[in-house]
Amino acid sequence: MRSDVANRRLYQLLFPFLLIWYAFVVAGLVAAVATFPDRPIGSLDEIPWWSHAIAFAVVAATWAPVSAYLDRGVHQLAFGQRDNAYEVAGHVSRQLLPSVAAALAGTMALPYVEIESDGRVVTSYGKVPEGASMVEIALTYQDERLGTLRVSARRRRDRLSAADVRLLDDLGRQVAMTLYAARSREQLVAAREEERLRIRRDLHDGLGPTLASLGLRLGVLQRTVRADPAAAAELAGELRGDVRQATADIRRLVYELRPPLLDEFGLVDALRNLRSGDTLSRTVSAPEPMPALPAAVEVALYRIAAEALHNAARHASATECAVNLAVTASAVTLTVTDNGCGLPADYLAGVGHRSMRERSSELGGVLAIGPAPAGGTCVAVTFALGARDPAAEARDVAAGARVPAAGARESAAGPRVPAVRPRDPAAEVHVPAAGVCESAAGLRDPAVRPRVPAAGPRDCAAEVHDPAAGARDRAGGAHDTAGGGAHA
Amino acid sequence: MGRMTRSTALRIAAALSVLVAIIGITLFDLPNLVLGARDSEAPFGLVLGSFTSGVLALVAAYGAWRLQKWGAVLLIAVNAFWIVQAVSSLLFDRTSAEMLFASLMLVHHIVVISFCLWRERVVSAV
Repeated sequence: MRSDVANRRLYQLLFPFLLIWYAFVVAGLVAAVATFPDRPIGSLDEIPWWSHAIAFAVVAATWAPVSAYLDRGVHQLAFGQRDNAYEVAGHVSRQLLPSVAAALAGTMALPYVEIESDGRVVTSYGKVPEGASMVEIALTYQDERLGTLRVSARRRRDRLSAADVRLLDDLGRQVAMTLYAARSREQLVAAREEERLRIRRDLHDGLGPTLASLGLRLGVLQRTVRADPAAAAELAGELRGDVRQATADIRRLVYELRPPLLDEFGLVDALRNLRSGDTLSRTVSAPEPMPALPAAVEVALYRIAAEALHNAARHASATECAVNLAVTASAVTLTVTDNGCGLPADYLAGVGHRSMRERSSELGGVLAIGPAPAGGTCVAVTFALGARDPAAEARDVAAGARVPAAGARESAAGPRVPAVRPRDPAAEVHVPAAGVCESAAGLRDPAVRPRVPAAGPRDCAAEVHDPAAGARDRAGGAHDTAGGGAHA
Repeated sequence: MGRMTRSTALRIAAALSVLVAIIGITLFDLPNLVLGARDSEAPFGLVLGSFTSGVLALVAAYGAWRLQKWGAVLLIAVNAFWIVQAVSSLLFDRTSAEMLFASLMLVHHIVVISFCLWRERVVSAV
């Protein structure tokens, strides 16, 4: 707090000082040029008055860029790099990994520790003793090889013990997580900056000129409204169209920032109203009441569900789709299962799948895409809810919404134990273990529980089947695009 | 803003200031200080001020080299003071050599202050 005040004082003093100083330097330089033929001068009185006038004009003409430059420079000097996200992220990651390497070397008394990623040494600590052997530990996180941890033995012509290597293996997981966190942080910052650039571009290139043009044409309208009412009426009609276009642009921009349906109806109803395709009927099951989720998780779930439904309708020729949301105290899982043709044998991830993966990994989620137990494709994503909003927690507790809350509802409704179909055990790996439907099934037939998938088009006793989904999808299309604007 | 990092800019500013401070102290301040107030070639107050600013510049350069904020601020203050001297020199000095030196110093001080205020390119700036 004190340093904040000091920084502000520094900014408030240094900026005007430099501005005055700049005016003084310009005046001095102009005076030196003006008095050059008579130099050296005896006193300041010999400087002609027009020299000051020229200096004043020069200062006035250059005031805006110079003051902006000085302002930015002094701001940076006083407040540091806090407005430069890339620099901050880079600084954090630059500090994090060297600290990890140093801590590893210190705690295990290793003379040399090196962390390598993407073929380059990210950080190293210490020096390799001559003739000491090196051990390499693969740094893997979420089945992805992120880099290598290299350490040297403690003495010359010595090797690390098996216990050491085991311990390093365990510690390597922590190092991999740190490496992953450093990478993710950079990716997140980059993504945010990209988003800001996109918004800036949209506002600057789209809305800005449109509004400027509207202003100009309104001026024309004002001038012609009395002289030529017919032309004015025509122009007013055109202007109306332009205003509509601008409004649509704003709606699109707002929609891309955060789907308005999420704020309007909440995640579950937003999923029900999601536009996916023309003929895809959909069931959506979720705990009731749905606990409050972090906004970023809601958006990610919504976008992933949208992509999965889009893929089901467009690529898998599916006719039915089950969307299941399961929330526990520590995680939320979305499962989208369709009855389409499934993934081809030579399946390669396309743009949509990559986008889903990016959305999940941005928030530390785990995404699994694989064949559904009953055919078709199953997309499951799980996000940890480690740091939930305490107010939301309190609301949940008050509402008795501890998950699986749907079980109660299902019991009351008389849940049907689903017909157990033969399943592909491998496929079940992709399906999250905890789910609303599982709990529901377990109430009646515990023996069945391990084999009941979390979500399936006809498995969920509590599923809210929406026969009108197809029709609403079509309406939802308008709802999401043109209609979305109404919510914006 | 260019691609040079802020730390590089601060270090260049520090190095330039050290160079000028050492030149000023060894060629101007110390000889006049040795001569004393009575025999000094320049007004002794100016010599004392110049020597003090030279020492301050060395301290500021150390701080700026270590990327400390106080170092950069002090460097700006010292170079702003030196600019006053350079402009005075441009107006009142007699020989062309003095004027040339003052011009060079003026450019130097402006460059040092610019480097102290150096700001890396901010992508997100709107």
